[in-house]
Amino acid sequence: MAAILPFLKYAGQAMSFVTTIAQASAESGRLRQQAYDVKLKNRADALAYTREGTEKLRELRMSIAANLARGAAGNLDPFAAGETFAMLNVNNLKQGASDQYMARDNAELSVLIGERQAEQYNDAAATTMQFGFLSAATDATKSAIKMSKIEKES
Amino acid sequence: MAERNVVYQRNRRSLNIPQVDYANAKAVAAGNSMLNQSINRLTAFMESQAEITAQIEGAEYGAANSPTLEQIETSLLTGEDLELPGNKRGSVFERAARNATMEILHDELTFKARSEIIAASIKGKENNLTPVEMREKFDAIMSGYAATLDIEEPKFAKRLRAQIGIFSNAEYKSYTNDYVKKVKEQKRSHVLASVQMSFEDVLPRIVETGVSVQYGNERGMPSTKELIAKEKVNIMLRLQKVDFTASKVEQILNEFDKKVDEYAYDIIESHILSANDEIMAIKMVGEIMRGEMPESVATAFDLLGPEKIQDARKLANETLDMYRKSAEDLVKIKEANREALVTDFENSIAKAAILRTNNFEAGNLLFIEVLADYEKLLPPEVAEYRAKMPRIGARIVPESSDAEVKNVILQDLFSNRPKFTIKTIIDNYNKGQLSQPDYADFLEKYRLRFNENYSRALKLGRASFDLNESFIIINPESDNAKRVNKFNQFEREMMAAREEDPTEFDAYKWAEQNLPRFLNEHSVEEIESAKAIIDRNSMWTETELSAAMNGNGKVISRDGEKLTRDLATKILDAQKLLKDNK
Repeated sequence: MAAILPFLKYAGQAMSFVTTIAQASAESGRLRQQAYDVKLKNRADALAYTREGTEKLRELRMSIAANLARGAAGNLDPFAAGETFAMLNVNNLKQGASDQYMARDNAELSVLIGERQAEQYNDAAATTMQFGFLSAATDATKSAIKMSKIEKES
Repeated sequence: MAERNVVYQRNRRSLNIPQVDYANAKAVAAGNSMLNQSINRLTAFMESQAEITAQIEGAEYGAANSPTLEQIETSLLTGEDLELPGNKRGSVFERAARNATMEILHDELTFKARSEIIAASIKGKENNLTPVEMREKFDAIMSGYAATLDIEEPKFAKRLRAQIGIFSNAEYKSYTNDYVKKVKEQKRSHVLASVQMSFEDVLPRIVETGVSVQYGNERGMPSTKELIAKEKVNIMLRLQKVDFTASKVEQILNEFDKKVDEYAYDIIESHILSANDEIMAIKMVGEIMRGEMPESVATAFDLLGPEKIQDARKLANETLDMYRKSAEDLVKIKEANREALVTDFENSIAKAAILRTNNFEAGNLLFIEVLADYEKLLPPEVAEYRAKMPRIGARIVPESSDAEVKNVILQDLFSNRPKFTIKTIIDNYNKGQLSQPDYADFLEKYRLRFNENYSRALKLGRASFDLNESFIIINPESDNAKRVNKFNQFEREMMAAREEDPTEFDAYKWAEQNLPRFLNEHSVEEIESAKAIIDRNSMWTETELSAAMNGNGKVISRDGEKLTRDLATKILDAQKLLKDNK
């Protein structure tokens, strides 16, 4: 038992060092996975916004068409300016365009922010790794000093 | 009804900006925080290590520079402050140094105080100090030592006081226990001494009062028995006062009873022994048996009680026997003393007579002195010598002794129990019947007869030379005459040997050692005669010798002649030796 004590002592220190690095590495991996996930999610969100904008455009077209049809049915010039339905359609068009732009902006923002978030996670992964190394080195230094004290005493 | 115009339904969504989780910043912050903690721990560890090192070094410094026992003793004597290393309000090093010093100082002071307390306790026991005085001494020692630290180090002073206090309390307790035990023992020994005194002095006096119960009752005074009972109660109370165990009290009271019996028996014994003669003693015993005894004896019987009456009567009879025996012994002793005195007197007279043969005046003077010394002790013997005194001066010394007188004296000398004394020799000398050398020789021989050791040696000599019976020598060539001559030679040599160292000389031992020499000496004639017998009878071998032996195995008898086996063997051995040498 006495013969393997020094070996156990150094093995313990090495294990502690490796464990700290491994912990940092795991955390780093998790963050990188999260970066990937957030990128995907935001792309999916952007797609949803784009679909929403498209849907809004379809609704706009339907409302304009309905108004034109109703005007024509009432013996009115559907394309004549100044008419009520024309004015309504202009208004509808304005609001529809606004929604479309909003959807497009949201989709762009989602992608951009997703990219940014992914970058953050990737950077955090790298940082975690760096600090993992630093922390392991600090602990190892302390252990080494402590061990050297004990050895001196003994 | 016509349908109303279709209005575009506005999407209610606003611009949606997703929240950004600044994970890197968080990671940096968390990492920094963790790193900070690690570094803090490392720093704290390093600090603690540095503190430990400082403490160790400080303690070492403090221990190395703490005051020595001599310095402490000097400080205690002179009252000067001790220089202590370190500072209790300084750095870790200084504090550790001071602490170590204080620990050592504390130990030293505790040790010194304990030693002083033990010494004080021993001295106290020697001087028989009371526990209160001892307590004061212990307190003074404790205060003295603790006061040295009161100002500088009150914490240590308290600890020191507590520790010395515990020790001094234990010592005080032990001292008090010992003291109490001692006092108790003293009291007990005083009581025992007083009881002993009562046994030896008081009790005999009470017994001597000799007031019997009957006499006391008649005159209304306390009897001896009552006084004894009172004394017994008194002793019992004294014993109980000093906490003797019941068995011890019982033992002492039994001893008391025995003493009383002893004194009572003594009275009876003394009463009988006080008789002037045997008749009176018998009369006294008779009175005791009949119960008509004097007051003192009656008191003794009172004390012994009815159950011991038979014992007392038996003692009376035994005392009577003792009285008779002691009377006889006394007579014997007196006679023995007188005999010894007469022997001494005659010895002294003989010395004076011997001196007279060499120095007549000095011898006469010694005579006068001896007679004066024994005048009162042996009046008739001295008177007899005095009557002869005028004749002592007139000296008629013949050339040779009267043959008949000399022969008679010689016979007496050779007998185992000589009848004559020195006085006889002196008388004969004074009558002019002995020559000077014979007179001196006989005087010395008779004087030596009184020496027990010398007498035993002569008895042994006589037995060895077969001279146990008295006989008259007629033929000087006879066997008897030869043996007498040999015996004379033996006695002369013994006397000569005695002259060398008269005080240390052991005649009997000398006789034992030298008798074989005299007994084995054979004259030339004896040997020649023996050889002739051997030749005539052809007894030249051991076998022939054994065949010729008589029944007793010691004497060979042939042709009417006798030869001792011893002599025959010697002759044969000598012959054999001669043959071998050739």
